[in-house]
Amino acid sequence: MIYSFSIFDRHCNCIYNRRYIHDGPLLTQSKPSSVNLKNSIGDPLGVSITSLPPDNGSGDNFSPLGITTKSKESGSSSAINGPIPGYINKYNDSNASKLLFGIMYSLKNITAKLGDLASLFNTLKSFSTENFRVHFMESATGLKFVLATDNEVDNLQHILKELYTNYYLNHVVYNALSPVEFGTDANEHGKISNSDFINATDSFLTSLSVFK
Amino acid sequence: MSGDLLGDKKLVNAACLDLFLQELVPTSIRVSQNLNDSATSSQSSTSKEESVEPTLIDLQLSTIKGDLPGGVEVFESSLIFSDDVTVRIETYGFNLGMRLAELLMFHGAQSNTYNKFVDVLEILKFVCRDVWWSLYGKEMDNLRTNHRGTFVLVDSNYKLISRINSAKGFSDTLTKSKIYLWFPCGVIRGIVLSFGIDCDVSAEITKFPAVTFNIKTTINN
Repeated sequence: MIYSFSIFDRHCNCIYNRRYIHDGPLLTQSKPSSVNLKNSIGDPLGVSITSLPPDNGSGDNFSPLGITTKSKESGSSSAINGPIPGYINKYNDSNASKLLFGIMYSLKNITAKLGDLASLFNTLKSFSTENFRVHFMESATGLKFVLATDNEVDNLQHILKELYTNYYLNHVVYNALSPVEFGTDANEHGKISNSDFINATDSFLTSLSVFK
Repeated sequence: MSGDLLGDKKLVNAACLDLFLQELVPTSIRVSQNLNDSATSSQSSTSKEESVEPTLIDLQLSTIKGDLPGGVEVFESSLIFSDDVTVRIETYGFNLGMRLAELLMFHGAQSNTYNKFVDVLEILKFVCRDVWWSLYGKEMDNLRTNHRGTFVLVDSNYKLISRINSAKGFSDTLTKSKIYLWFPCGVIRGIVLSFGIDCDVSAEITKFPAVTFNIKTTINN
């Protein structure tokens, strides 16, 4: 099951953040006023499966990796034909997102130093915890592609590569109206928000057998 | 005939050409902005010495707000709709067309594909097949004429704009890709004029990314 997909640029900013909601009704808009501190700080891997159901029913029972188990919300639940439920570019600058980046960054550096052969370059591909696995790929230009899944998923390196070479290239690099440099400011950086990229990666990821 | 008149020799990498053409509109806007800047401050610019700075990641490329390398803020300048910018883009295409016609005819004559054209329709067929093939690796999808000097060429997936997608929505995508269309209009006008025929070319986006080129010549055949 794929929970979320993020891209970080070489300035350590999260330029794309997509969370998928499984088995929940479609959440098109969530109210920023109801952001619950417990969740926004969260545990770094974002596991909040048993988090308390929202009192007021306004539904921010997400977790930083985008794992949403159940929602009390009824209403617009046309998740089949409508857009894929989840959040787009909503939690790019959340603490959880920064923590996730920190983990990847440290692990990447440790991994590179492991092994005694200088010629054998050791790269980080994924790491897993009891319930989750985070898949990681970094391009030579410093773009980091991250997919968070459950533990059943084995290796997604080819998917990450596909996201980079096919989707990022076609809808960001070849797109004259999309920036390729998203700014160095950690608070006011740009994001990938063109609809072609979002729709194409959504339909690519949801079509995978490991998505559900 | 399908295939490249220039033969199998790949003279320009297609990806490089695509990326280069993307820079057409931003560069043109920056040129206009710089010309405007120097016009308003003509007295001070003579005393100020031109300094050349290396391009860094936070160096403003022009005085347009937020115009940094790799960004797209330059498209927000109101200059994008000015005649200055569109005429410049059209002229780039026009000059390219004039030269490309010569190059293709030279190679076409060598391989005995073309020696001369008898009427305008053949010139437009040449545009549809060979010019489009050498620029975009494909032919035009449709060519229609009213036999009174007006031609309609349709490219159902015009490469220059096919991957453009604005984060601000579809209407923004349309507005900005229209500016890019001045370039192929100029190319067609340049090609046709290099055979001695004056024409007006306009382009419209019928169903994105399909583009219809309307060519009005004065020849009545």
